[in-house]
Amino acid sequence: MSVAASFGLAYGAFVALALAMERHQEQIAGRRLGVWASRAWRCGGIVLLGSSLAVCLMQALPSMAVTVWLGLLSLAALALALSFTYRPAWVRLTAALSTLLACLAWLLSS
Amino acid sequence: MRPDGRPEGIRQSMSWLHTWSGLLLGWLLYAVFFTGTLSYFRAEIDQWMRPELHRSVPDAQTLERSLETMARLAPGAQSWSLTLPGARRSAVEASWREPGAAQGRAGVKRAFLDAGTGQPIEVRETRGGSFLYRFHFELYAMPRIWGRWIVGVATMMMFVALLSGIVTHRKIFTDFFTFRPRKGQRSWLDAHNATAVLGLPFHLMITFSGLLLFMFQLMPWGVDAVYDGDRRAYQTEVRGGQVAAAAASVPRPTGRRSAEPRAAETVTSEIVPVAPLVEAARQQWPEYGVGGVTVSSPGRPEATIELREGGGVSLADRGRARRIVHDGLTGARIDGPAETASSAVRASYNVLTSAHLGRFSGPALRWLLFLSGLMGTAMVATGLVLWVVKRLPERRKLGRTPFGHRLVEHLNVGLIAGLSIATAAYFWLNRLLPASLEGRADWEIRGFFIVWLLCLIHPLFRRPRPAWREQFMMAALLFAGLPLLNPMTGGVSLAASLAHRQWSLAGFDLAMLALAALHGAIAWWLGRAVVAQGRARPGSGRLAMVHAPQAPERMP
Repeated sequence: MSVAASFGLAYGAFVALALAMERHQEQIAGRRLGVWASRAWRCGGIVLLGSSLAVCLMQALPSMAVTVWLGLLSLAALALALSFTYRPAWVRLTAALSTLLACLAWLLSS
Repeated sequence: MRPDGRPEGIRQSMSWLHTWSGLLLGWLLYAVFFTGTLSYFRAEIDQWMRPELHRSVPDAQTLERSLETMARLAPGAQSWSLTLPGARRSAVEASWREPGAAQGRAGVKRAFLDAGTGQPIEVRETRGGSFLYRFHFELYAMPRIWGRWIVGVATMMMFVALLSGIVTHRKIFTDFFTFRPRKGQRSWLDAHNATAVLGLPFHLMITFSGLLLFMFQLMPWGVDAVYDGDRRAYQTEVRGGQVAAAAASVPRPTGRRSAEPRAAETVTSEIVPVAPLVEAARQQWPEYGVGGVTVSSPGRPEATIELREGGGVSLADRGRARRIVHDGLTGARIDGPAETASSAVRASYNVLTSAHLGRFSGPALRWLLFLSGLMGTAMVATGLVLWVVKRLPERRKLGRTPFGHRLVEHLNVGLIAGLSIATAAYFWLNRLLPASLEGRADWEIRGFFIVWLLCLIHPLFRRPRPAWREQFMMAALLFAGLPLLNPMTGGVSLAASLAHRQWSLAGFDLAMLALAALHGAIAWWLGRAVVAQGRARPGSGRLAMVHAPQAPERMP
C-alpha cells in the first residue's frame, strides 16, 4: 500500500516538475506558463518528491526505504516519459488521480 | 581533434571515451546485465526447473514432519538446517553436515523434502538459476578467477562509460522526460538516454557495488599490507569483530569436534516441540515470520534450536535475518553475543552490496530491482545499436559497408537477440533432456552455449534486419511455449498454480509470457518499419528506418 502511495506521489511530483519546464508546459497546460507559475510548480514538485520519500521512510528503515524510493522514482519517471510520448492528453488526469489516490492510500494505511 | 581544427572540448573527449569503452565491453556487459537481472528471481527459476517440487504444499505441520525426517535421514549430523517453504519456494530445503565431513561446502549434504509429507523428493540434476547467476560474475568454462577478472574489468569500464556518458549528455534536464519515436538516430539516442538517466541511481549503485564486491580481488594490496596477506583474518574482523574471541563467543558447540559423541550413538534426547517456539517468533516478526530453522547437535544434550526471520529489515547489516536461539531440551531462550554495530564504512559497504544482491528483499523491492535491471539491459542494448545507427551516414557516403560496421551489426544480432533465444532454450532443455542422462546439468548448459553460437552464425546468412526479426520471433515463440511445456513435462500448469496461489510458479510462467510479448512486439515493430519504408531500399538493412518516411498512422 505504501509502495503504491509513494509511487503515486512520485509520479505527481514529476508531472509538477515537468510543468516547470517549457517543453512540457504546452503538452500539459496547452500554453506557456509564466516564470512565477513555473517556480511554483517546481517547488510543488520538490515537496511531492519529499513526501514520496517520507512515505517510504515511515514504513522501513532508512537503507531499505531509500533503495525502494530510488527504484520507484525510476519507474515513475519512465512512466511519465512514455505518457508524454504516446498519451500526452492523459497526463493531467493521471497526475491528479495518482496524487489523490496516493494521499488517500497514505491516510488509510497510517 | 575536431574536423574544423579547433581544440577538443571536454564533452568531445568524454564522448569518445564513452563510445569506445561502451562498445568494447558492451556485449559482455549486456550478457552480465541480462543474466544478472534474471538472477533476482534465482529461487523462482530454481523452483521452476525442478518440477518434482511443484506439488509440495506446505501446511501447519511442515516443520515437525521435516524434523522427523531429518532425525531418520541424518541422526548423527552436527546440525540440520532447514529453509522453510514460503513465497519463493514450495518445498523444504534441508542441508546437514555429517560428523567428520570435509570442511566447507563439500561436506554439506542437501535434500529437498516434500512440505506436505515430509518425505525426501528425488529431483533432476540441474544447475537451475544458479548457472545464470554464476555466469553474470564469473562467466563459464574458465577458471573462476579469470572470469571474475574479466567481469571486474568490464564493470570498471561500465563505470567509466556511465560517468563519461553523464558528461557527454548535453541536455540531461531538458530532455529528462523526452522520447521521440520514429525519428531514426534521434529515437535511439532518446531511448539510450532515457533508460540511462531515469535508471541512473540503480545503474550507479549496481556498477559501484559490483566493483565493491570485486574489490578485494581487484585491489588486494591495502588488506594485504595491513594483515600480512591473511585475508581470512581481515574477513573475520570486518564481519564480527575480534579475531581471537571469535571462537569463544559462539554459544553453540558445533565447532568442538572433540566433545562430540561418535555418530554411532543414536539419538538420546528429544528436542522440545518447535511449534510454540515458532509461534512466539512469528509474533515477534509479523512481517516475514520464520524463514528457516537450524538445529545444532540434534539429539544431544547441548542441542540448540535457532530460528531465522524470513527476510531482512535493514541493508546496513547486509539484510541479515534476525535470529532467536533456544535451548534444544528446555526450550529456554539463549541470548547470543551482543550484536556489534557496523562502522560507518562497513555499513555503507553493506548497504550497497546488499542492494546489489537483493538477497533478503521482499517482493516489492525485488520487482523494483528486476525492472531497474531491465532498464539497464535496455540501456546497454540501445547503446550498442546506436553505435551502428550513428555511422549510417558515413556508410551511405562511402557507398559500402566497412567491415567494422558489419562486424558490430552482426555481433549485435547474435549476442543481444541470441542471448534471449539461448536462455529460452536453456529452460526448454531443462524439461526435454531425459532425467537419467549422464552429466545432465552440463548438457543443459552446453545446450545454452550451442544455441547462442548458432544465433551468432545465423546472421552470416541473412541481412541484418531480417536476422534481428527472425531471432526476436524465435525468442518470442520459445518463451511463449514454456508455460505450455511446463504441465506437459511434470510441472504444475499456470491455471493450477494460479488457483492454488503458488505465486512463484505462476510468476515464472507469467514472466515468460511477458518476455514472449516483449520479443514479439519488437519483431512486429521491425517488420512494420520495413513495410512502412516500402521497397525503395530493400538492401539497406534493418537500420534503414533512419531515412524511412514517417509512418502515416498514429502509433496505437
